[in-house]
Amino acid sequence: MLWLLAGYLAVAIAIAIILSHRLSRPIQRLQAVSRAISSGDYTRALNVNTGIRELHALAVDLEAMRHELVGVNDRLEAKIKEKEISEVRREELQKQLRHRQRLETVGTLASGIAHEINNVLVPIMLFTDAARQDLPPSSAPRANLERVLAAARRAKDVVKKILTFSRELDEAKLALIDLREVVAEALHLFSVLAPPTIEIRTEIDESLPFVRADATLAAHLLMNLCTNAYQAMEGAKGILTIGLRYQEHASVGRVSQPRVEFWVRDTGRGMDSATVERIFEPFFTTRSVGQGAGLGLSVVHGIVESFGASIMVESKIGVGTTFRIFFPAAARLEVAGVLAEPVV
Amino acid sequence: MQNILVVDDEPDVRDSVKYVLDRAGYSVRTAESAMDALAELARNPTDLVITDIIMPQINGVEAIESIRKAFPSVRIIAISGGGNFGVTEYQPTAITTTAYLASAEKAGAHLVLTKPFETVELIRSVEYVLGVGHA
Repeated sequence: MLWLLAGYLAVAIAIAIILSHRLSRPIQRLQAVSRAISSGDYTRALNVNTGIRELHALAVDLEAMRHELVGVNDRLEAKIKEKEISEVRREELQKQLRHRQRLETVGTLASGIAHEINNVLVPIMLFTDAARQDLPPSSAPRANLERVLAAARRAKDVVKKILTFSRELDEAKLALIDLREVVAEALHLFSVLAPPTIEIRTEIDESLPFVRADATLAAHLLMNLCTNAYQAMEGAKGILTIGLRYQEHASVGRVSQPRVEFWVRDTGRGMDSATVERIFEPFFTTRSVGQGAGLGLSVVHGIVESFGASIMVESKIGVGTTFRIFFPAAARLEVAGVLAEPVV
Repeated sequence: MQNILVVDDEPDVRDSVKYVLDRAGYSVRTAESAMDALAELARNPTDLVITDIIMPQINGVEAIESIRKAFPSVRIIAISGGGNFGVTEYQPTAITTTAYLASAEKAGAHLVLTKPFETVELIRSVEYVLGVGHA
């Protein structure tokens, strides 16, 4: 009898152990997953197999909740990223707008100054010329007045350059253009102008997306850079390289954006870092007086910024200089849309 | 002797143009505004008006239109150094000398000249415009 009782007890204990095990394992698993969720890990799925109906229902509900959380989290992350990108775009647009306004101010100022200077130059040129004519041909004062006249003509040329530049910027019309066409045209022109001591090479990608720019200004930009390169190599043999390539993942600020890189490299004298720092300032020049007003590279900078592009310079004394310009590549959709439009 | 009227609000421009043309054998008078010029034209016979474009009150383009209407036989040379004053009135997008001078030409000027000009440019322009006028 006692043996039988002991037997029942043992069976009861075994059943209790089995039951408690079956009950506690899924609960422990539920607990582990819920802890993981609360600590931010939503990746662990809740696969609880239990014969206990209530526990199973609880597990299914929890898994649905986890699934929902994963979705919400993904959507939130996507939204944050979207916001970050639009914030960067907004900053870029604001920068462009500020620049455009600055250019307009410069244009207004330049044309106002040009008007004043041109008016002042009229009496200087006319009275000087009249006084010069009244003096004997070989007299020193006559020679001096000829120099005054020559200086006035130089001033006239500088004013004309400033006016031309401010007009070009003002009239710039950004359109989708193929930079290879601009390069081909400029090369054609430059190969005639360049001395035979300079070898011209090109490194141009076969396939390139369009960029948003003004074709006239882009040609102007290229000619300025080529002239600069040619002047850096003056009096010696040299190689001028013009390159164009597509970069799908060029990082610009915080955003990786497809860009078209355009570069002009010379094997000329090169510049020290102090010169590189000031290279885009208007009227900064390393050439001697009378060899140029130093407007070329500031014009380049102005044009590059008006396209929303960026420019950088690498230079080493005795090795040469490379100017790199990064144009934002036009999106495929944008290109397709424009190409689909009838050409008027 | 042919009579020329020089119109410019800048005294130095007026005087230097007058000086050069006096020496070239013309009879030259000056006016400092478009209003003065119209009054002067009514008072004395004039063959040629050389007028600035950007002037206070009545600008050169309006002055040219008035001269063409009231004195159709008078020849006109427009001179300008560019600028951006009152530009919206005739060339909404332009801020250049070329644009001003183009509007002057449209208004009826027989020749346009960009400031600053050389003595020889001025004299040849005057000869050309007066020569055409008599042809």
